[in-house]
Amino acid sequence: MQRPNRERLVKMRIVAADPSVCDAAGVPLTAIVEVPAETLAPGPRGYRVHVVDYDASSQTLYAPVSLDDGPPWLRRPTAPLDASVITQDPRFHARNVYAIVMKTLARFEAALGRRVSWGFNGYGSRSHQLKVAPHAFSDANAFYSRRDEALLFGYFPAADGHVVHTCLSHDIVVHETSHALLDGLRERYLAPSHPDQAAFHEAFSDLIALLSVFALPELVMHLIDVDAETADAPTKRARRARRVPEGMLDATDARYESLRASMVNAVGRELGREMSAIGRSALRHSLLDVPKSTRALEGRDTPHERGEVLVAAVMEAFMQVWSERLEAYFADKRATSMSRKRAAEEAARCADYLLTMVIRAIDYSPPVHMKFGTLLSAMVTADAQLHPRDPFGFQRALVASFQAYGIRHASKGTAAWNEFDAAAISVSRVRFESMQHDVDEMFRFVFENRTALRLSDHAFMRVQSVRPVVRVAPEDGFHLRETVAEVIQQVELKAAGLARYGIKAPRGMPPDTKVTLHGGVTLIFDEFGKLRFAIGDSVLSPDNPKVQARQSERLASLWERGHFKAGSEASRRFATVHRLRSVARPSFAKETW
Amino acid sequence: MPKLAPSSVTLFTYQVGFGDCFLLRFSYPDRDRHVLIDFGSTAAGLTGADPMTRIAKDIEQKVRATKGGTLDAIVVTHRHQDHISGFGAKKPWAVLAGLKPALVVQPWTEHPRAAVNATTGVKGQALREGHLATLDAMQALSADALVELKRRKGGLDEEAGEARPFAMRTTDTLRFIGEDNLKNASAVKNLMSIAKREYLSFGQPTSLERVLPGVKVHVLGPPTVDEAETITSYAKQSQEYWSFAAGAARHAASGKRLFPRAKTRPLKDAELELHWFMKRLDAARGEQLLQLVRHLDDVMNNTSLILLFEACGKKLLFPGDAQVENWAYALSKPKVRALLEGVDLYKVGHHGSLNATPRTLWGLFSKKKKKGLVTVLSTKTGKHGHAQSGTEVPRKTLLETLKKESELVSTQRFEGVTGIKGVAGEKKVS
Ligand SMILES: [Zn+2]
Repeated sequence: MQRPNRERLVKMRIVAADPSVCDAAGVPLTAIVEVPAETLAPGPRGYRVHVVDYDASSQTLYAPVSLDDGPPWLRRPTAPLDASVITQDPRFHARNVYAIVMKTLARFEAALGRRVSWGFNGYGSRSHQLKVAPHAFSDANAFYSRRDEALLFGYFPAADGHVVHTCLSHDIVVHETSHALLDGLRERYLAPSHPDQAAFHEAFSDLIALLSVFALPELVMHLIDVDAETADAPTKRARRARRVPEGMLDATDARYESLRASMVNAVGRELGREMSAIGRSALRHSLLDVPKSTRALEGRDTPHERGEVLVAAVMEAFMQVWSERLEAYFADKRATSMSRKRAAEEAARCADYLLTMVIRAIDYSPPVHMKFGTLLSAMVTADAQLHPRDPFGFQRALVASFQAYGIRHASKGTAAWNEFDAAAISVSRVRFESMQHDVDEMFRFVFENRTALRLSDHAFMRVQSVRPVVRVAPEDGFHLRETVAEVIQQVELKAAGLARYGIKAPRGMPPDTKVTLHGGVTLIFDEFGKLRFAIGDSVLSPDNPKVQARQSERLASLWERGHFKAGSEASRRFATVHRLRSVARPSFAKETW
Repeated sequence: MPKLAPSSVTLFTYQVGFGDCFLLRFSYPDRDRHVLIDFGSTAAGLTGADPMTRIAKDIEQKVRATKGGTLDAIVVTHRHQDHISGFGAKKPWAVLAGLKPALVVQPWTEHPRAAVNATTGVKGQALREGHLATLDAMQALSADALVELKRRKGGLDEEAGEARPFAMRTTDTLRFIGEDNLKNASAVKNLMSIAKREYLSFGQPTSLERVLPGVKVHVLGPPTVDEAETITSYAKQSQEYWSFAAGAARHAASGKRLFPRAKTRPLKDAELELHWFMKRLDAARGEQLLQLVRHLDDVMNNTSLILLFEACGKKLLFPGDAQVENWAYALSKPKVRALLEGVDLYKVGHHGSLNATPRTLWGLFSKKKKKGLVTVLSTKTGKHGHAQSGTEVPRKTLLETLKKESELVSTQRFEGVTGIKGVAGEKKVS
């Protein structure tokens, strides 16, 4: 690919949804996206991603792909592309995964205002390059594997004999990439905790995937078109009666109820058909299967079932805000219709904004013990830092939709985190400039202020990370400079010793069971070194019994879910989580030996 | 005239290596009646020439031991090889067939498909047929996993002289579970040759009560897929999935390249930095296959018949290899729970694996308090699962509990003893 070196971004063509979603001409719908420019080696192999096309089923190693030579469609994003290339040329697949993984990484880095590492170590320190196998094996599964430092995408023959490639499903590729990125941001989120945490990795990855798909105006436009053609007879009749012009939406169509009904119809017809058989169609499930109810979480025990509720709550806010923005087009009563294209662009804008909120929320979340309500508090707080006036209305819409699905925010009072009372903090003995990148300096600060931070004095404690960030509000170029640090605490004890610290051992747990308790806080400093937020809990807190109550609750739930049994930690965790999603198997951990 | 009823029940347990084989003798004033429950082995640990024929002959001898003794029924709990292999083998089957068994009892899943159409109503039928298709897909997948195992080369390791497909443990376990899940067409055919056959699900009456006068027989499992909600939802969603999984395994078994025209490179030409990853990917393939066959093995176990015999005031429970999912339906019924409290003899489910004796079930057995409970475990250590992952069979924690809270009879005890033709133990219940 010929390009001057100073270009920061290049355009690449990807599959917009999956190859079963086709345009009017029957060609799989594609979209052009921007990814960071770099000097690629064959693979493609770049500074963060290395595509290795090894198929472990047939033990075949396909030749690495160079994007600099080969057919025009490989080199230029606008060159014509045959349907057969999309489905049958491994070179297209290699570029497709490369582009989507890099796009997702870049999206995270833009939202967080800094570089983001992968969650695995090679030779003792963080590895830079994630390996991606687009045709890893003949199997109806795809997963992120920390142990293999890789995303592995399977393929399988469909009923009619054509091969379904998980590497061509936009949302699956983003989903797996998000697992890898979240693992890099919060390594303890893979550890056993409250059932919400197990579900969180799935739900977060689903959310990033869905919002990334909706951030493509091409795709939303397609969904609106599909609905126009396939809506039920009464809807079509009503539209004709209202004389909605061809290619347009009128005020009624733009209202929340009709918009939601249109999306349910179009999504049900178009999205994730190929993947629903393997249980990997998050949007279908969250839109179609989760009733909007404050009791939505009841009886949902497996990670993916719980996760669907979180996805539903966020997507509900998305629908709400999108329809509000469309309604604005009809504020002038003389306006009778708007173009579908404009409506699709608004959806993409909303999705993109919400995507930033979801990603940024991770920085405002505790380093351990993630719960659904925590995400709400973190999203609202993160967004309010840059957008105190809530320009899209997402802060309000999210609070309302989480409430509607029975998820309570995790902070006291309002949904946003309470600001830390910095008066009690001593900074006299540390230098903030060093604290912004030096874990030892940060640790000194934490240790000096352990009482004010309400951190246990009798636990192993370490600073897991310190990251200076620059977050940008694209509308007005406003910069927010912050420093984010993660502090982790840990104690190990026997079940018999729990009572002494005010923690209840689960019923039936043998007294000599080894128990590890975790705690920790995320600290957020402003650009002048003032501590603004301390988010999370100490591992133990003699003067706050709620901390112990939460530890007891987590232990009880882990015990019930069989986490203290030998071998409960699967080595390729997401392989198992995703397989269980496919076979939809109920869990009976309590009944086993 | 007083109603005919047995005066005693005797259980003969056979050491078949890894597998199940039990002979129940009900002694009546007129003659002894016998029920054979399963007749299979994975051959692991069985020694001597043609062990299954020797066992069949011993069964014959026991049936004929008293005047007029008969083999009245054969119970086939489910289709795993370690429960049915003997029925498909020529010589042993000839011996059993010679005893003219009057009845064959199997779970509903073994119903020949056409007959399912004829006998079940509309409700739930699509689901049941779907489930049967799933079981077929699973057996096909097992077969294909074995083909892949045989076909695979050592990959990069071949350079170093290793031709093993996967790590030894993965290979062994895959082979063991894969073979256990293979179709046994001749066993199916042989069993079909018995005129009177029954295919049962939870709560159905059984002709076992007719051939065993004065004995009550409760069918506690399996539920049909449409009965148990937990099973329904997972059967529904997983039907399509397993057909895809089987298709994928079929493709993998063929060893065909996905893109026959695309440029490839010999493995040995791979750059050094790729070696580690390619080996990991090969290992991951093995683990993924294993995970698949483990899942399908569980589903197959859950088709097991669960039978509770009440005779001479005693209760004998034979759950085959039923796991928690199968049990969950029966255990949700208060009447069944009350019935299970008084169990006197429990054939430990699935050779003592971690999820085949639900803790709820174990909690119900009230006789274990005074060690009045007899548990019978047919198993072979070191053949299935691994202690490191908490999946060893028999599961250590369960075994300890069985020893502590019941009188445990384990077939392993009979190993190497040539006493009663070297194969059997005996437990008289009353
Ligand atoms: Zn996932």
